[in-house]
Amino acid sequence: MQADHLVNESSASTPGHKIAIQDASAWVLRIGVVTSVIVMVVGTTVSFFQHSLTVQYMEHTKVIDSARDLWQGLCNFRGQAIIELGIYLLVFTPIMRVVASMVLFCVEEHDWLYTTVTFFVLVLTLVGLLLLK
Amino acid sequence: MTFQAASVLWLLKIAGVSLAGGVVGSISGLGGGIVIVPVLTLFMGIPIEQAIGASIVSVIAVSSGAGSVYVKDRITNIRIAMFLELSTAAGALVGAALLTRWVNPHILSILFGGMLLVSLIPIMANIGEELPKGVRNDRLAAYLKLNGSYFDKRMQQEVVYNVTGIPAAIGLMAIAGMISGLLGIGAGVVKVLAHEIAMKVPTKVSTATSNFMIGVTAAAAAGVYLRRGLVLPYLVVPVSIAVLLGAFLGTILMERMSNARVRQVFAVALAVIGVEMFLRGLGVRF
Repeated sequence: MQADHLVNESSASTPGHKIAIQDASAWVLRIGVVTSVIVMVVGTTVSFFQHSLTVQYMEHTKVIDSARDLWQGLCNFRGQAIIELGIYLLVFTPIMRVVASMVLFCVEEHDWLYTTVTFFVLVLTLVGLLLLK
Repeated sequence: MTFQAASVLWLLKIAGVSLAGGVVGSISGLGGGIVIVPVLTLFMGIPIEQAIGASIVSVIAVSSGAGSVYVKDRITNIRIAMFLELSTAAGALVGAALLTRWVNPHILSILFGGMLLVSLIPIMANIGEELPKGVRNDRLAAYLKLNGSYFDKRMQQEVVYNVTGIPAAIGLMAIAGMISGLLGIGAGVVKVLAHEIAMKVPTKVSTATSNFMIGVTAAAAAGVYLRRGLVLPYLVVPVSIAVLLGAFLGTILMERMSNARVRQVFAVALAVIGVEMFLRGLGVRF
């Protein structure tokens, strides 16, 4: 293999105390995944005690529509609402890792090109997640 | 508090399928959808929209779970991922917001399926090749600092690679985004193809980087499915948990495989998706 640059700035050992974007992303992803799984398991356990879980029930239960219903469900400790909280946590996990890399590209790397790129990725993703019908 | 045997069996079946989906998805960089969607629809009688809804959440789980390993081990190229996510995200918005009104999904499926089967040719041409040879950075790749290196656990050495074909890759990514916006699936496969055929990065880097990106694309698409009530919470829980276990298993396997073997896994998945899309376009319900 011939390579123009043997040292790769982003993945080679980062000098000093800098936080590597890779390590930060890995942590964000890991925390997001573990938290959402725990919340989903708690939600399933709770709904297991609240009503019978038949195949019929599991195949036909839909997500709660509004944020208000979800919030009320969580306040009443409803199993299904807790599961949905877990799903939302999972959906937001990749977005949080984009946020983390944007912050690190800016603060640690002073790489304005990639800070801008990441910022637009974040905006477009949020538009898709929140606005598309 | 009752829990029938039938529902336990149902959960186990779903968990088994999802586990397989997680393994295949994390090795090939495609997410779990290729296994999960057809099995849920064909064998378990779940309507396609709900199956895709579960699959989108599972893609996020595979991408995040496997991604945390690949990124920590520096196989993922984070700059390539960030740069190409931009064009995928833009394409996805255009696809979902504008094109759905004008494009017939059946014709699109047939075209997409055909395109995937054709792209098998360049993949098969160097199916046994371990690393791409003689790749030089193109101007954009050098400017964007996209070249990189990773430690290959199988070869026990640092692999340094260059990146080329950025304009073609940007175009392919925009197409990948549009297709995922229109069909709800199929973005991962074009991402790996762009890495393999246009940019010529080592296969492990291309599947790990695609794996990293599909989470963001799927998160953008998940909103639509959540609002339309197509994400069934009690289906998503077993799918997500099993797919995650599969994904972690997949990362262990993938890091110890040769690049050539990873490309073979991808080629099989590519052929399956190509046929799947083609049949779906022809109106075969699954």
